[in-house]
Amino acid sequence: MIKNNDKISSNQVAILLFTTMVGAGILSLPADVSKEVGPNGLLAILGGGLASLFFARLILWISSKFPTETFSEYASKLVTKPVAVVLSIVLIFYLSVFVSLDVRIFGEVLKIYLLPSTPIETIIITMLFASAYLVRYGLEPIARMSEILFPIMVIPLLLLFLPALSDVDLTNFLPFMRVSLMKFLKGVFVTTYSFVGFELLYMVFPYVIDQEKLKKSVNASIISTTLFYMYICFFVIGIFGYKETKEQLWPFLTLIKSINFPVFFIENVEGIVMAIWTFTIFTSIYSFHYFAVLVLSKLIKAREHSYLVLPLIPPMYLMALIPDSIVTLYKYANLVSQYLSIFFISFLPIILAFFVKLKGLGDKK
Amino acid sequence: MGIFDKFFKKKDRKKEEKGRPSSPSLKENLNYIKEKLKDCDDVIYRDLWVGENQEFNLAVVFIDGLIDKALVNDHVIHSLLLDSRQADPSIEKIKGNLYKVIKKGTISGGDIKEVNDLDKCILSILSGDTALLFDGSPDIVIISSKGWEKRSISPPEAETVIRGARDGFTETIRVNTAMVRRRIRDPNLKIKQIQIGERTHTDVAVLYMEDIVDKNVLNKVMERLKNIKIDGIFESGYIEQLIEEDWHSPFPQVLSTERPDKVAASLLEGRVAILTDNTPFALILPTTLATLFQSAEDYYERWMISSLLRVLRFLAALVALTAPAVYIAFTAYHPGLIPTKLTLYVAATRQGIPFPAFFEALIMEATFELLREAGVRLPAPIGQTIGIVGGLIIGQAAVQAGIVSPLMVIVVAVTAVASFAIPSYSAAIAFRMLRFVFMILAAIFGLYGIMLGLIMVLTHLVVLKSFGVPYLSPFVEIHLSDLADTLIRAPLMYFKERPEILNTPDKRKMVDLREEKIESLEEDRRGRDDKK
Repeated sequence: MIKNNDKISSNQVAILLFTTMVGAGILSLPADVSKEVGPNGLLAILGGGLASLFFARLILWISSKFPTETFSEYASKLVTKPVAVVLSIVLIFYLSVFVSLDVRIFGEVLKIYLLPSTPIETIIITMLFASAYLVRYGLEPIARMSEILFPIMVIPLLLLFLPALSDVDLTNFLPFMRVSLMKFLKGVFVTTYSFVGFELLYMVFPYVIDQEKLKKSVNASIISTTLFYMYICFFVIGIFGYKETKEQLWPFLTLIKSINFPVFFIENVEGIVMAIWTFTIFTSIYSFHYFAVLVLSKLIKAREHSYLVLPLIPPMYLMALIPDSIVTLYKYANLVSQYLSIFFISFLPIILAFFVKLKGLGDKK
Repeated sequence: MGIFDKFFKKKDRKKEEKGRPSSPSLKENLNYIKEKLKDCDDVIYRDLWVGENQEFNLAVVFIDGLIDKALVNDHVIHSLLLDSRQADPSIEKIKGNLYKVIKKGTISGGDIKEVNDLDKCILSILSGDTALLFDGSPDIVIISSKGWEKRSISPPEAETVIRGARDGFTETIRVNTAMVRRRIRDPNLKIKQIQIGERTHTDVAVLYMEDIVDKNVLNKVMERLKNIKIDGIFESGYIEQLIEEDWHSPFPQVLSTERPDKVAASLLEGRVAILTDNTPFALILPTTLATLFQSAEDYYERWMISSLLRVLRFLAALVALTAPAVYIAFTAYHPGLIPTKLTLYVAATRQGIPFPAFFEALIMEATFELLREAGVRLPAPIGQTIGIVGGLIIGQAAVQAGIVSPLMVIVVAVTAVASFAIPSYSAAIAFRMLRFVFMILAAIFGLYGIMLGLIMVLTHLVVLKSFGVPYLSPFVEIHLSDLADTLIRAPLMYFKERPEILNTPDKRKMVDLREEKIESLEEDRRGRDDKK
């Protein structure tokens, strides 16, 4: 089909959202929820998914009032220009930080499982350049890339866990719902790190052809992400139990290491999973990278976004190298997700929605 | 498009130059032609005097070897000299309009036209037509008399099938268009012919189905063809490279084929075909990656076999791309990721081999490419010898000498065979070429290098378009109905519509008669119920 450049369909948005959300968070998610809510991890993820769905729809509603504008443009109409500029800069910083975090976690995992003697800097910089190569070409190829990688990253993961089904001990999910509300809410709160990514709805709206179908795609992508996470946590927590899960850094990878297929020639599937995981993380990196560049280009009113792709790499690279160990890396990650993510995912949409109502702006003509 | 702009400007300038109009004087015209075709000793001028008293002067000009001698002798010269005498038009009648009488009444050749431009006339002569010039009239009659030695139709060499038509295109465009026309007897099959090449004036035919093709694609093709300004076109490869979207890409964005049935089927799907004179290779576009894995036979065999073969081909492409790289990555970086027994075996076979895995692979792959290239150049009997020498002696000797491990020889052999399982030769070349890049990446980063390589290749592929159609579609911008003809070849009953990605105005390809019957039965019943 012949289309203008930089226009994508709502189906593509759904897949892009999914691939963006499923990223580095998948590694530590089971441990994070187990820490907070014990055996009720699955419920916490469901809660996190529903909350994300609500806020995603809120963001979508706000941007649908301005069908031709992206974040920095409509924010200046809503909350005055200087505030919008500050917000945009923070947003660029925030998205870049996610690229850095993802790429650093990726580097750490790769160093442990595949390339023990390769310097992590090399892994990080090659990944960033690979992302830049794609991001230069704009939204349309990005959406297509997600479409290609989506089945490659989802189907094998779904199948890989099936042989472990007999090891799942359902008593690991008991006692059911015996957790205080505050603790449960805290559990929901920590899952947000894994749902980060739907902020791109702030920017993506004007680039969609069939905008009226976006609601459906947002629902589909967030529900499927939630189910995907629940599927993985079901196996991880079900096999290890929450006590064992919460002690681990990356229980997801530990589980995969423990699965083996004695019948097949494959003795352990780490290699395959690492390969798939490269794609998983890559989809998140380029998506955040692109939207950081997009916000920046709208902020400085650049005509072409491609010139701004490379200048963002040095700061991302340096930020990725700031944490000196995995422990500090996760400390930073938690800081970012607790403050910045919560701000962009929940507070900002509420504030913006309030202003939309207050000023009665952007009513569809 | 910068290059096309340049071509375009030149073209405008060229338009201002006009051909030379012919004069009523035969002598003058002949002199001009003779001057232009000076030192071309294959040109034959035949002066004729006809009429009762030999009062009318005519001239026939053609090129020896390009024309059908029997046609010119029997239907032009014979008609003029002898047959015309049997009729009895009075001189008074003829005198004023000799030209008309001869054109309409004397020449019995089938395809004639008239020109009054000497340069056009010369071009026609050079294309194999016969020119008939008159004294006293500026009009020149061009008799189509092309008839040179042709290669007879033979099976396509690079695309043989077990089941399917055995005729392949030849070097003559007319024969080729006829082969397509014979398969599609539809007035909507259009064959638009243009000439490309400022010196070769090569005939290029654009074939499409008027009511099926997407006009945007067709216009793009026509525009790009018209913007080609080159001295000569000798093979459709010239056209392919001049009209494709991205010439940095290793992947072919236009499919070339020798099979008329493949062209006909593509036309019905809504694609455009380009036939070029002097080459048996037709171009089909837009082309996507999935079409490079399709073979004509897929549709003739039953769907299960074809589906299996499709899956096999995609796997073959993956093997051709990554097998040596995976070998390098596993032996050099991650021996822990393969089963322990295999690791030990690999280590044992590699014992005493003086090269690191990467060099081992590089040497063997380079040797293989060398053998392949040498085999192509040599005449067939010696080519087989090279195969034996290469496969048996070099492979066996290299292993026995302890330079490469036997496993490496197996990997190279499998890779080689896999690359030949891809139906499109130029796609196979692309995969073979990229294989070396993957080997280098695997040598540097191990498995991560391979993933990095795949990401780069995929990035390139998602950006690539062929005449506005995304190269990876229908895997991207997913159309479920199109997926039935990609990794698998679904039963023909599923192909009720033309490919969605081609955006064809006429979508319906097939009607399932059984369904139709049920529907009409139901309608009948409803009609009867209403009457009651």
